[in-house]
Amino acid sequence: MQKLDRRAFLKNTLALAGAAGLQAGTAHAGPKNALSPDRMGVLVDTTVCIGCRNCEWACKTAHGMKTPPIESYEDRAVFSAMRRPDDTALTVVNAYPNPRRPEVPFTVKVQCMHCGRPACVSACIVGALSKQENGAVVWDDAKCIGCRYCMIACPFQVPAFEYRKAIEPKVMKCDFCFERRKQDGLPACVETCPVEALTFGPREELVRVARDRVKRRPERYVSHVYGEFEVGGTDWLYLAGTDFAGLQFPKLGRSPAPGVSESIQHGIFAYFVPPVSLYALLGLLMWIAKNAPAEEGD
Amino acid sequence: MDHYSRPAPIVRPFLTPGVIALIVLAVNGLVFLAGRLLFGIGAVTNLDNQHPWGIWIGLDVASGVALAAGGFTTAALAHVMHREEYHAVVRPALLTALLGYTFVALGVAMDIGRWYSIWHPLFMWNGNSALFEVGICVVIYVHVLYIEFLPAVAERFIGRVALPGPLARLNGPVDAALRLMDRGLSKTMFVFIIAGVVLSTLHQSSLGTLMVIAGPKMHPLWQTPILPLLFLLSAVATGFPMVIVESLLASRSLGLKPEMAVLSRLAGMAAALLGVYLAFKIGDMFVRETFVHLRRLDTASVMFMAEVLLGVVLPLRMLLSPQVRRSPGLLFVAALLVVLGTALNRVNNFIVAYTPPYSFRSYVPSLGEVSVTVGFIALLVLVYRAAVMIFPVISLPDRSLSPREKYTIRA
Amino acid sequence: MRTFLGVCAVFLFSAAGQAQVHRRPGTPGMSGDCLRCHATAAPTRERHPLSNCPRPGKGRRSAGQGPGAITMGEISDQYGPVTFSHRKHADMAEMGEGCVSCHEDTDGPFRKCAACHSTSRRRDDLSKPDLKAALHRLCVDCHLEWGRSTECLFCHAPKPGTVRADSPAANAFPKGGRDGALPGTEFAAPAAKGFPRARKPGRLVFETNFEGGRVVTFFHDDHAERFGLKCVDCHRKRSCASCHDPAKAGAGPQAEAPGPARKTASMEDLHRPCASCHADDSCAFCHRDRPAERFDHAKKSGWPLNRFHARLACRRCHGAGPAAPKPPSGCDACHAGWQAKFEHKKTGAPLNEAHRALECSSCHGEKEFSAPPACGGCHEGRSYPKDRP
Repeated sequence: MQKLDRRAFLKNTLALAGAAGLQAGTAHAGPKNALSPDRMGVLVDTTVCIGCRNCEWACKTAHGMKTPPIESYEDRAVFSAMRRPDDTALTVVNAYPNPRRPEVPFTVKVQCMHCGRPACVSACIVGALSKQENGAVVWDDAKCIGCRYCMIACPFQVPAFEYRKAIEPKVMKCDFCFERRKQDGLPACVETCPVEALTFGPREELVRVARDRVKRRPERYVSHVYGEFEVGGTDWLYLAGTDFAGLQFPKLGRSPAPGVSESIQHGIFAYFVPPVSLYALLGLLMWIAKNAPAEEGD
Repeated sequence: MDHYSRPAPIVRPFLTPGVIALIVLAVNGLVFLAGRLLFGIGAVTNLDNQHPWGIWIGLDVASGVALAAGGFTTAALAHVMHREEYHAVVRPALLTALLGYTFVALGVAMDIGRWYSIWHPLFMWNGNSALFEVGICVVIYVHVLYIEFLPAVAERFIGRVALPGPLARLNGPVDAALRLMDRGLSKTMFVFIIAGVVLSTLHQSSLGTLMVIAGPKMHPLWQTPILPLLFLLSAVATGFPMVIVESLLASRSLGLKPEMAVLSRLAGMAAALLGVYLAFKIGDMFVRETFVHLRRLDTASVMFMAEVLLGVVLPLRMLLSPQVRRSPGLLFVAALLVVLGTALNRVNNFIVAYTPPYSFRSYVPSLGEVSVTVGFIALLVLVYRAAVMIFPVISLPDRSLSPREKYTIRA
Repeated sequence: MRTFLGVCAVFLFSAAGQAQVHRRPGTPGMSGDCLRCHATAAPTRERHPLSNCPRPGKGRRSAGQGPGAITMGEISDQYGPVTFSHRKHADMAEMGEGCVSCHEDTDGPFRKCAACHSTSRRRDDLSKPDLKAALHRLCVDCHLEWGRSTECLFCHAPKPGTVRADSPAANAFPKGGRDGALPGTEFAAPAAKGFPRARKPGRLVFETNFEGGRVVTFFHDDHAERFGLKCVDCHRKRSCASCHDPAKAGAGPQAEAPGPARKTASMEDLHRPCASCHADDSCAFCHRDRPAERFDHAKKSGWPLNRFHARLACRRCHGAGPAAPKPPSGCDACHAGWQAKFEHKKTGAPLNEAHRALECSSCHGEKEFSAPPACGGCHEGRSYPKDRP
């Protein structure tokens, strides 16, 4: 026991020294957080969506996830309960009552909103999440430690965790088909949507298109492009025929998703000035306290 | 240094009925922990995609860090302020902090999905992340704590190194190394002590920043941009009460006369610090006008009132009374209220206040989660007991050593 | 020429104003009379419903003149082609918005959809949907409404090699498949695929706020079956699901409560369907204090109709219009020369030589063929069917 303790102490001391040395050499300061002006986005027109759930099937197929045959997605009974994306489905469609046409409910596809200033990217302890130039917020399997802070941070509660896996559990969320788009493909859901309720294009163009639709059909749309300003702007935008609160969209402000946490963080750590000042101040105090009474020291 | 000797290892039998009960709890926790390691977090916990963090973070980690604040507050008082009269409480507080942080690290490792990747933050940095800062500070601080504890190790073994069997011929060199280290440390210890205080200030506050990013998902009673300040102030205010609770428990179980002179002075300072914390807490509530949420009777308002009234206001009132500060029993109650109040504050911030936008059910910790948490606490107490029996931690009075009494010391 | 200048002036002024009037009022075939083509006297660019599908230069065109069935399959990738029963849809569309409910409302002949809608989803102009989406939107909007389903195989043939035995479409076209359907052929039994038959209410009772009589009773079945009205005569601007709705199909005639639309509609709109026939009737003709009884031919005319005559449309005997002339009372008026063709043995009672010479009225009374024949006039103590003629 005694030996073990001693070894542990030595090991810890060595580890600290080693870590300090390595940090300086290999680490880099933060994850990629690009906010390219010509990034792509998707405009989801919930008044056009028919709730066929082909996007759910296409998403699973494109990501190599297990899925029943596409015919089974015609079952509209799933709409009786609200669903959220999880480790088995990166996107789900929910239905909400349409008072004007009870036969045709509003159907809303849910997935990662791909924020311009994502809270998850800001939060991730190891920078496993990053915002790419093409708009995608992607997750890096090689970095993630599974702390789930991204799930705490996400204002839309989108990232999901593989709670049932002991080894290499993943944080799962829509990756905007990052791999497919590398080969110049469309996101799988956009490609499969039979009515193009999902319009893929440059975000700025999509904002224009969305505003135009609202202007032209005021009787069809509420005058609100969700995601244009929410949490500083998301790359996925939504149009709806009813108030977004009725479609269970969270009511969010215009300030970027990480909120004040980054300012606080950088305030505390502004070029290490506050910690170093505190260190110096305490050292001074210690020196004064030790010498003032002129007693024997420690 | 009047009638207290230098700290010395306690000589007692290790196994007592209380210890056996702790071992049972610890083993029970380890069984559930094995379940988590073999079948994943979901197999043992009630966590889901809406409630990613449970008591393993809210209690084991957040409260653990707050309650280990005694380590840096006493270090600041005794070493930085150079108040020699408090040196007797420094080592127990240091050991509590050291073990507390070690178990915090263990708790974090078990809560994260890929425990074997826990070293990633050392090499993969994200300067924007409050969690990254907490992580790095805690890692460094744990090492600082171990270094601060090294003199106790040196004290115990210098001249007494006795390695078994063939290693016995290393006795000489090890002894020499220990002496060298002791000499070196006594000259440089101030570096580590100040570093410990700075690191604690940083990560105690950053622990508060953690939940700021949850934004509107956090109940407005708790969500405030000054969360880091509130966390720091409450941690500082909890440091001394934690030392008081510990010291009173130790003296009681060892049958010693409580060192009320030191403790009531600590209590006075604790009252002042608690007052500052309360002022900021209430001030924040009025500035953001969140008191409107107290008009409704729900879980949030009840928990908030419990935290503030029972955990801050009541003990503050008690600590302000000289009578309470002089009475070991009342002082123990007041200090315990502060400790529990801060623990409740951390649980409130991390669990009660967290209201996800799409909740299918509310989070209640599972049997497995509670078992693991209790098991970790039991393990911590056991290790603490073992440590005070091996190393010179607790200062004993010169005469009044009563070996009949059995004792337990809780962290 | 003067007209032309006038039209030009109107065009210029309005274009300078708010560009509300038709962009090219001078198009050949378009006179100043908007109503000739449009369903409204003041069409705007946003709202310019056409009345029953006129095409400039082609004159009015009825739905029936359009193509029969069309096979669409050029852009289908996941599924086989769609055979679209254009004529059937066009017929029904007359109760909705007409041709323009699907076709872009443009001058001149209808354009190909692909002329405007890109066949690629990756494109620069995102203001309008691509071809696949544009077509799907046209169909699904109604199909979802009445079908509550987005089943692809309802319209699409399965892609060759992917037919599943239990898929509805695999069984919907047992012979030849859809590709074999010739233009103009109608689908045998759409109901078999789950298409709900039109709801045909019987008696409808409407509560109104008219002081002189709050209750209007409408016999939908009489109007549709007896009076010879077509659906489109009354129903305009209606969605498919307002009649073809599986949820309402089983409901009784009273199920249709006045919807919110009916409550807010103007008095003119409410009366329009009735006005074409009932223009000269007093309010009290429809507005009563209590629900009206069904028209009883026997009670009103003293002439009960047998089960064959009861099925006839009124006009078969009374001619068109409510101001019917007195109908002919002799059988010969309709069944000319019936006696020459009539064989009594078809009734199950063959006549012998003696009886065959008799007049009908000798046994059957005054045109009362449903009652048992009277034998007592000639034969004492005999009766039918105990005794046979």
